[in-house]
Amino acid sequence: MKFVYDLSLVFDAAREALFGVAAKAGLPWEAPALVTKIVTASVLFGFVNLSAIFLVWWERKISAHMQSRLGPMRVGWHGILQTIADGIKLLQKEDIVPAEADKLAHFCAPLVVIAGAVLAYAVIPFGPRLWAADLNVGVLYVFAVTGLGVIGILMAGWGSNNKYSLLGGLRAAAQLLSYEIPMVVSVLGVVLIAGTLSLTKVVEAQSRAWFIFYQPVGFFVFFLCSLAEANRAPFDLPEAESELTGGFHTEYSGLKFSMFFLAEYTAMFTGAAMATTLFLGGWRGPFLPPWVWFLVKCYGLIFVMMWFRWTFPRFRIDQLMAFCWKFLLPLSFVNLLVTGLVVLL
Amino acid sequence: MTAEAILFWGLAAATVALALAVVLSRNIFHSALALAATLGAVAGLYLVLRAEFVAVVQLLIYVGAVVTLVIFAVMLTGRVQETLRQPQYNRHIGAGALAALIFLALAVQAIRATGPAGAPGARLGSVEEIGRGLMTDWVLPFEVVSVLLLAALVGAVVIARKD
Repeated sequence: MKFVYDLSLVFDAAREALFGVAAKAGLPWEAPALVTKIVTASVLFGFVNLSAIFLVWWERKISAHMQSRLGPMRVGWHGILQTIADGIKLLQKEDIVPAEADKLAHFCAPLVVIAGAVLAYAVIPFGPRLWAADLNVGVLYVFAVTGLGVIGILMAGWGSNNKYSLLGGLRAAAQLLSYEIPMVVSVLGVVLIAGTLSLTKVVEAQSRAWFIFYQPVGFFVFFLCSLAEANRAPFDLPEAESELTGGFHTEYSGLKFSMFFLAEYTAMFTGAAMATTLFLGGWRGPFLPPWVWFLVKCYGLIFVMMWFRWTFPRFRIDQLMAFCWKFLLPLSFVNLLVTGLVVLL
Repeated sequence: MTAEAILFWGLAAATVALALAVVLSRNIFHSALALAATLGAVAGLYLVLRAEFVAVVQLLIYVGAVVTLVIFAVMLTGRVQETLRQPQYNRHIGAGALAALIFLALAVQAIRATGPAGAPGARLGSVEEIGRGLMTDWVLPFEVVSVLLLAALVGAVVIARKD
């Protein structure tokens, strides 16, 4: 029971057992330490994949029920194994590279996108002591590595040598760069109150009240920007199906296409996890184990993201830019100014 | 050889190789990508020095923003590939000499500033230290830089405006 409540005990026990075995075999301590790091990374990556598999199915069910359909029903209980079946199908697809494509950029683009999305998980605190690394600049680190995805999208857009891909890539770069600014500024309010850039310390600082009560405007701006950063509707212009066929991933098939797909769902979870950690008290909550609370809050936010997607129409590109530069950015600056004044007084 | 030394030499070799790729590649798009990777490797070097804040800012500003804008400009420039098929090689001696001179000046200055002891103290790159420094000892350069950036921003808007 204790182990279910605090998952970090499980990892501690595993680590101790590993170090014990290594000490008996006479290995230097670096060997088990390296293995621990590799296993931690693998566990995180496994979680990313499992979460994405679940989210794809969940999104299909939610969209179906919002449109009075049933959605996938045949594979497993209420179609829960549908994504796995689709994934196996995607693995078997032929990998098509356009003849005039920039081979290097076309090949590396999905890798860069997925790396940027997955790297952020290193600092996300899933529970007390349940994180891979506690950087003292954790907040900035997440912004830095998720920003890498833009380069991958630009590589995909350029490397495919297709005008739809190029347009999608350019739109993505413009959108992601623009929305990063209000996103970072909206988080500064939380940083000012908590007095730290470390994600775990931000959660500790919320022991009395969640920061959403001090920073409702910050949460609002942050949540909208994280939707835009994940290329989700109503900000999904980079891959607008109806005008760009698929945007930057038009020329991708099989495994590489599924990597873009995985990156999008990973980015959604990253956005939700950051919002949970910074504004909703992270893993804090009564009765249930902390990691369950964390996942409940994250998936709750993701549900809202999906709800948005199936109820709001897409922005036009000029509306998108005007909304960011003329509304969100001034709002986040005013929020920062007021927060700074209050903290100072 | 310690793990730190292995990391340092690996990253240093990667930085040099990628920087060479930036100048030697015939494809300007590949040059821009190699530049992003070079700056990322430099961020790794900062991490080896335990300057986490500097490393993350390097990634955020240089790789995430500056190089992205460079790539953006390359993508918006039409017919960029054709002009690159005939590279000009009559300027490389002058450019190389200038670059070597700048490198020498920087290296001499860096060695003088840190002395033979090598790496600076562990706390030098911390957020608190940098923040306090920017707001006290270096507040004038900090403000001048922000005015300069604002001027550049206004200039860009003026140039981009059609009427």
